[in-house]
Amino acid sequence: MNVVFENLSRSYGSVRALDGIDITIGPGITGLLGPNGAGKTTMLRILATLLPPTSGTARLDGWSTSHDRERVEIRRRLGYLPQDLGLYPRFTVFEFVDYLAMLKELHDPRQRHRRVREALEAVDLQDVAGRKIRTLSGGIRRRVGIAQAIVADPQLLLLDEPTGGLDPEQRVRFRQLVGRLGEHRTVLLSTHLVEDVSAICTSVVVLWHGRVLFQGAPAELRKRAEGLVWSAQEASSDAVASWRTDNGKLRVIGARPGPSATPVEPTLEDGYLLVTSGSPIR
Amino acid sequence: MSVSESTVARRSWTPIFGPVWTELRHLTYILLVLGVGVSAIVAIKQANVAYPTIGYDTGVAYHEGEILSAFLFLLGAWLAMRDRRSATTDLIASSPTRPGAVRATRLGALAVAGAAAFGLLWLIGLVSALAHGGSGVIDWVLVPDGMLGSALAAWLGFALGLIAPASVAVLGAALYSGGTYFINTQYTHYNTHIGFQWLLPFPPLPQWSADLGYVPNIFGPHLVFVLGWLLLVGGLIVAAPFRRSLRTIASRTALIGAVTGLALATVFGVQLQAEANRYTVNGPNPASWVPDYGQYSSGLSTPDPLIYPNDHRATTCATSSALRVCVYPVYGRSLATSLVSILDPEARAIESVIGRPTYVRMVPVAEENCGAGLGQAVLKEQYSFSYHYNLRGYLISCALPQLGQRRYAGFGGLPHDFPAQSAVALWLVIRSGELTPRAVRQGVASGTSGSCLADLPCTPQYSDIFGFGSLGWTRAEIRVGLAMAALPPARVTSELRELWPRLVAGKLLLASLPGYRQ
Repeated sequence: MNVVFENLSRSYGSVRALDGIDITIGPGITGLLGPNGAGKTTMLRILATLLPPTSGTARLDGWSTSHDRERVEIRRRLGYLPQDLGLYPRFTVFEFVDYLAMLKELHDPRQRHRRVREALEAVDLQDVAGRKIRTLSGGIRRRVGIAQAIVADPQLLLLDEPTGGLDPEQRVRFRQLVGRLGEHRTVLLSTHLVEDVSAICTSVVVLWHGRVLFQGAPAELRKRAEGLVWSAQEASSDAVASWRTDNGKLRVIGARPGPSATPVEPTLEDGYLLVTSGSPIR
Repeated sequence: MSVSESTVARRSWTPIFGPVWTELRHLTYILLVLGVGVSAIVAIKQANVAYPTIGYDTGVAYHEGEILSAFLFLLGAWLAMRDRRSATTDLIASSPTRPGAVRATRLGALAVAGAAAFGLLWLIGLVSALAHGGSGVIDWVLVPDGMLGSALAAWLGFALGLIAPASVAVLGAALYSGGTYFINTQYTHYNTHIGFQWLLPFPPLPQWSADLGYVPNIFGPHLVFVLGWLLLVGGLIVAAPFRRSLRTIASRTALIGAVTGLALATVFGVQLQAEANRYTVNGPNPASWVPDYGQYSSGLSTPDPLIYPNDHRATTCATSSALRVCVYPVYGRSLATSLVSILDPEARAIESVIGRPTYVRMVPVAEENCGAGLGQAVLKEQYSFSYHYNLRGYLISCALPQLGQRRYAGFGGLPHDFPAQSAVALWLVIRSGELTPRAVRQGVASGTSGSCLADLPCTPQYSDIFGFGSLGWTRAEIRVGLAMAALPPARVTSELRELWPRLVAGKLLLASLPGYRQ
């Protein structure tokens, strides 16, 4: 399933949240990377048919988010986990996922209940299926949100900051889960955590002030920083970024800070910082 | 897959029953329990009368639907605000089920919950009536009417909850319930001739009879009227999300529903409004009603100047040597016997009076009045039957028509000055044993004037019957009344017999009465 953005823009008053986005996203897990306010959530909300674009189009396998009938077709193929996830506190976990499954047109009760159980098992929530949502921790609620997103076996999965509020163990399990889900679907994962993208994404889009700065494989993004990451005693004034590491030396991104600096293997984060710095080095 | 390959759109309207059931399970919480509980307690308290009937007790339960409505209103508002307050709006909106369909499922759940809550309240009224030994027939039409009224309250709350914050919804519930209560009890209670009360979701109970049901029976048009409101409110709620795509079948259906509802509510609202003046009674043909003697308004709903004719439905009777009292069979003989025992002393006191009522019959409408010298008095059904208190002086006022007129003139009416009748009334009260000459003298000596003589007659009921404020007994009337009481009763009776036609016509002077010159 392909997602196509054609000259997509979205403004909130005078603020331009998305500015002429022109990209195509194919199957697999795509990470939307960018700082807060880059336009990631706006992009996902447009794709989730919750927000109309100011101009341009967003299409999912040819269906446009701008047309009423086609929006319904997109929703039928959509699983969405919003950033500000809300749940009905008085529902049980099973009831809530089941309710959303009904709204996702899973009408046959037996088949639906089976799908709900499978979704809860996928996020390892089968043991709390009968518990009221108001009694659950934030991490478990997040998993309930994922369960509702995948219950109808969507072809497109939109996950907006899904790992927020998860502890390290939960985050690892989440990555495993998304990794499995992404094998047969198009997954868009919005995050500002580079390690999430690094761990599971097959491609990455870097957004910056509503514009696409980079689109490609994570390895390509990492490659952008090749030869531009150094271990040094001191940083130069024109470094893109520098910070002290656990060996007592500085990790410097940018031009070689001095003759004693030694090159180090770049990470995805280095590539991201370099791309978003606006530095003319690359 | 491309647009052209799009599968035929699956209809998203059909499978609403699953979500309705899910919603319904979560509506049976505190608001609903509280609503049924509070209204049932009030209903049971109200229905705890000496002579219970199934019709009255279930009628009271129906009427307390306005209390239940406040809770249902809040329940509707809560459901409408739930997505907003729980931040699930995006999850719901990104599902393929259209917003109108989601709303329809919620309206369905609210309607079922409201109807069930009202059904339970009504059932409590029925059980209460049976437990108290009530008899009579069930007014079945109250059940669907109350269910529709309950659903309407919940839907109105839902509509408000969609557009307003929680505080406004709470205010709306208070206004809805308080407003209907005010109109029901304070406004239309005294202005029923305008017919406005029939436009309430739960019309007032006073115009109800255990024998005849509601008089007039408005429930045919009222059912359709409330149904019209439901269609209007429901149609608008469901159609609102479609405002940018009004060409779909669903949106058109919702709009057609709303327009139909508006038409029904308008047509039947106008018809209901006219009911009060048309006064369709289930009993005798209004054309046969007997003209009353006075020009005063005879109360809540009697179309003055008519009084309710004998429809021969009050067939359970009890008699004494001076009086026969007949009530509707549903109340039982014990009520008739009780009424005879209350009225008998006064009936015997006025035994010698020409034109005195000897037959008291129950009627569904009208205040007590006397039947224009027909030898009858009518007694309006009073569900609490506190006649012990209310009927003092009733037969005396019947025997002296202009005196009776005075009670209805009230503060805004014209004062009628019939001192001879007042003096005779005092004499009759003393003869009936309600008041002693000593108590009257004490009252005069202590400076108490008018109707507040001594302790006993100062009750509102006595004031009501014998005058208001300055219209009470004057010192001259009291002097003559006491003088008459001092004479042998046979002599007074004999002299009054000749004077009676002039007395009841209001043409007899005080000076002409026996005892005046003593």
